[in-house]
Amino acid sequence: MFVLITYDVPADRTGIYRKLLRKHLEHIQYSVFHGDITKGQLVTIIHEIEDQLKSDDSIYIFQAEVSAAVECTVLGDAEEPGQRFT
Amino acid sequence: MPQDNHHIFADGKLSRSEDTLRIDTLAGEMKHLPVESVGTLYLHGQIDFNTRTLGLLNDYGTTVHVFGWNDYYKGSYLPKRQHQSGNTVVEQVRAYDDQDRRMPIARSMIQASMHNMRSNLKYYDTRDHEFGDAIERIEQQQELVADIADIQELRGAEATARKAYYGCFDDVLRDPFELSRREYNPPSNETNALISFLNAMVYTTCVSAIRKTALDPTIGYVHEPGDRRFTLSLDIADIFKPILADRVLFRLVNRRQLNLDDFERELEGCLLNEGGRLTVLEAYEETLDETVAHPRLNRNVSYKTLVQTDVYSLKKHILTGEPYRPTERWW
Repeated sequence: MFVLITYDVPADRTGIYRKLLRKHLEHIQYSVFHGDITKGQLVTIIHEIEDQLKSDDSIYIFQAEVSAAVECTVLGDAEEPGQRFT
Repeated sequence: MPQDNHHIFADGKLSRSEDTLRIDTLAGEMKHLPVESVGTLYLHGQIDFNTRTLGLLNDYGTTVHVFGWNDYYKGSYLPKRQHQSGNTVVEQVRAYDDQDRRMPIARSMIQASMHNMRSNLKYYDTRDHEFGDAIERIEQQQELVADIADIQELRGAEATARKAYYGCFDDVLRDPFELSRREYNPPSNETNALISFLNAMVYTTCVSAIRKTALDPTIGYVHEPGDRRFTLSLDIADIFKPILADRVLFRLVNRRQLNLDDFERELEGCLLNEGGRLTVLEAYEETLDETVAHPRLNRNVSYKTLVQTDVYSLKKHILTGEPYRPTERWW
């Protein structure tokens, strides 16, 4: 399934979520992650996030059942997400 | 589970950072890979890495295939076995050692391989090519297979079919690509170089798939187990070459996605250059992701999953005697 997760947290806490999300998802912008994962993986991510949540932290999760149903347009000087080549 | 393959062409360093993989390229770029979702890593460039990185790859069961000079397959770093089963290995060897068990497995593998070659030819036969003779020759060999009781004869039948099959390539491929004969070590012309490179990719795909089971990759049924190579991967790869490698080859050449500038000639041989490899790999990865409706599983599965189910089916057959169903193109 397709997932897009963004966070808005106090500056000193961003590292916590960045570290946590990088394991599962592709880091596309400072606080934006996306990926094609399973439902189980998403549950894991949600649990991991919930363990870290404090007041002032806010996290959005967008999801779609089928990753192919989501179209993505990239403008400007950025790499296409989902690159398999480095 | 979506487990993507990731290819690293850049030179640089692969390290473990914040519980995930990090790539620092010599060009000064830094990138994190989600270790959870990377199924297999392909290293095409010069990459440094240390044991901590290998430890991480181990934890997630990520296979690494290493390619050396001019992208010749060098070897693989296989993670610590997730699936350990002495029982499976013992049964696998028993099945190899017992002619009555080995022959049916080998026969069905060869049958599937021939079936897939034939279906490629049939496809092009309906599209302004005349492959009736070659198709007939493959069919003749297919009929023979059922009665062959000797493994060498079986390989002979396969070779005859494959020869007829490769004989048609020249006709399918748009000029200037040609194939008068299959040659490797080193490949003598562009088409041979492409076939070699794609076959190596199919082989590594099979190595990864076999690694996900407790099967021992060195004990195969069609090929004789030897040293220094994974015979079982060779067996499985033969089934999938027509589906994964050859179709990609035809498509790339006939749609003119590749031209002679994508190759370099050196020392009597011919190999893909970096741009060419990238084009081929993109097409190959797309093919692995392509899906078909699977009649028995009752859902759409990707070609990559088909390789996996093929290996599972073999394992099940070895352990329980359930019929082995090697992948024969049905779509």
